Amino acid sequence: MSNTRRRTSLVFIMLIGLGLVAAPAVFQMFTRAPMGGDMIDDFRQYMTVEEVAKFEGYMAEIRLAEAESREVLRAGLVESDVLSEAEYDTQFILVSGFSNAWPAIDEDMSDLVETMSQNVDNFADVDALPPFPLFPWFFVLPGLFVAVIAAMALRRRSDAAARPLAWALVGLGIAIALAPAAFQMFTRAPSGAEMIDDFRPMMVEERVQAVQGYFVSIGGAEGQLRSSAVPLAVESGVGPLPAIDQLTSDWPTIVGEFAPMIGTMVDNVDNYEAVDALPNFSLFPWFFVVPGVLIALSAAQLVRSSKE
Amino acid sequence: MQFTNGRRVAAALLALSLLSAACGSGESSDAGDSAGLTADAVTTTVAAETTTPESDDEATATTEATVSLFEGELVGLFEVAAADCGAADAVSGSTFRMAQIGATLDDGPFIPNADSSCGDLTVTPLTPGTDGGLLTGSYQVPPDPAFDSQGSGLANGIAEPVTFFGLSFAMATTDEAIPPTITASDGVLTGDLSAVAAYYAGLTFNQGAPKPDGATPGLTFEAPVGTIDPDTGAYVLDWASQIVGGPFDNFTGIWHLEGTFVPG
Repeated sequence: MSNTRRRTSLVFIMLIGLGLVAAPAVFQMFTRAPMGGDMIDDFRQYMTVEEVAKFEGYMAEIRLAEAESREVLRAGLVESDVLSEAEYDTQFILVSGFSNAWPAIDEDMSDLVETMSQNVDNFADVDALPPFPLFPWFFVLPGLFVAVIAAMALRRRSDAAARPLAWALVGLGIAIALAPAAFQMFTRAPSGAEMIDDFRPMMVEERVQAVQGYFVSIGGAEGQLRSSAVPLAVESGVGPLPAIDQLTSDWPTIVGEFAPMIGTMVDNVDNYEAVDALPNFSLFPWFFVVPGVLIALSAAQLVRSSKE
Repeated sequence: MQFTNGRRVAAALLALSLLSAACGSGESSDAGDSAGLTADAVTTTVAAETTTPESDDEATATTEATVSLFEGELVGLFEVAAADCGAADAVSGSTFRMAQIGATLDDGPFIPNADSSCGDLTVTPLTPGTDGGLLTGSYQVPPDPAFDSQGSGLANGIAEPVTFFGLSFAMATTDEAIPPTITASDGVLTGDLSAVAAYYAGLTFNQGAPKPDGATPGLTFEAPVGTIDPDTGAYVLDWASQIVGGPFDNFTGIWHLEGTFVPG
């Protein structure tokens, strides 16, 4: 191989290495990847089959109680002339307001919980990847090694003298190309991409604030049912109200579970945006494979030429 | 209590010097009988009557300076007077309410708390805790653990935990900020309550004014505002603090304490 061609090949390899070094800075991975790590840490406790099933159960429980408040409690109080419909709606304004809002709340919250359910496996895949804060270094360190070795090879005066370094570059290239396979990125990264896509409509400020409002609406209604409406129903012989009783009994637990979960959503809107701003997760394996293959092939050519 | 208001101290010294001059000259002074500290008023009044040099017709000028114990930095206990919701929603005493996202302090909207005993459900009454109220100059940290198994707050020094949406929220001061500080100047209160925090649903919400880092997000007060009666120590203290993060992110806690200040 001519000296010029060797130098051209090595410069090409060095540029690929420098490209790997620069990639995290270009994609702001040093700030975004740790934020993704924080998000994964925060959601880990909720993204399990058991936890999601628990929230689905809470939604079903609230759904039953809301229906009972309309069909049994309100209807019973009105039919027994304890209150007119208008009086009920005024006296128990939090309950009636909640009933009016419930269809939209149910649809939105159920969608949220269902999305969580559908992404439990995706989350597990992403969580099994190496820690997010390390991601930038998976580019920087191999890239740095490649660039330095290529620069050292450039200083060698002959192909033969550069051969050991060329072999090292071949090894590095293969390692970089195989890294995604080693970390199962070809299956896990697309799972992450799917999860990011699924949560995109939810992890926005407006949607999260709406969920905060639902919590207030449900909490206010439960309190008024417990403190005022149900006692009046009992006094008036309206009932039984097993679904409302169940909700009342479980409500402190539900609040204790829902509030931190909503808080986790609120606190991770920024983190989600940071992750969403990264390149599509499905592309990540190829960010290693393509440069790795190019480095390995170019370096292998150098090795072969040096033997001729 | 400490006297840190330089102007007041200077006035007191001036009055004392005038009193000394009056007594030294042998002039009678009926004001001297009234000078001193009365336990009820907790006010020191020093009055002096002296003859002005220009006055030959026994005209006098009276200089009076009042030094209240309720001036300067107030270190002690701000007793929390229990709220009285009244028969017609006329709430007196200490209360809490929470403003929703995008609310104004005056017009809300506020979050209704169906567990409130007040006619206006957006007002949650407070009752004094085991310490009787808010201590200044020291912390009232929550117990460890700060929550029961369901997430209800357990701190009960300042005020008794109150039920809000089925769970109790508790009030304490955290040593992650400077201790509560309140100062009075001519009956006007201000200070730093950045250490105040609420405990609810297993979560901690700073409710300080300002925030521990000095920030005043949203409707957060730069400092608590209030008044104190220089004679009785009866005070009113108000502040608002917007929640940052968590399920009530951007909601604002509005605190109103009233009662009597007891110097420590």
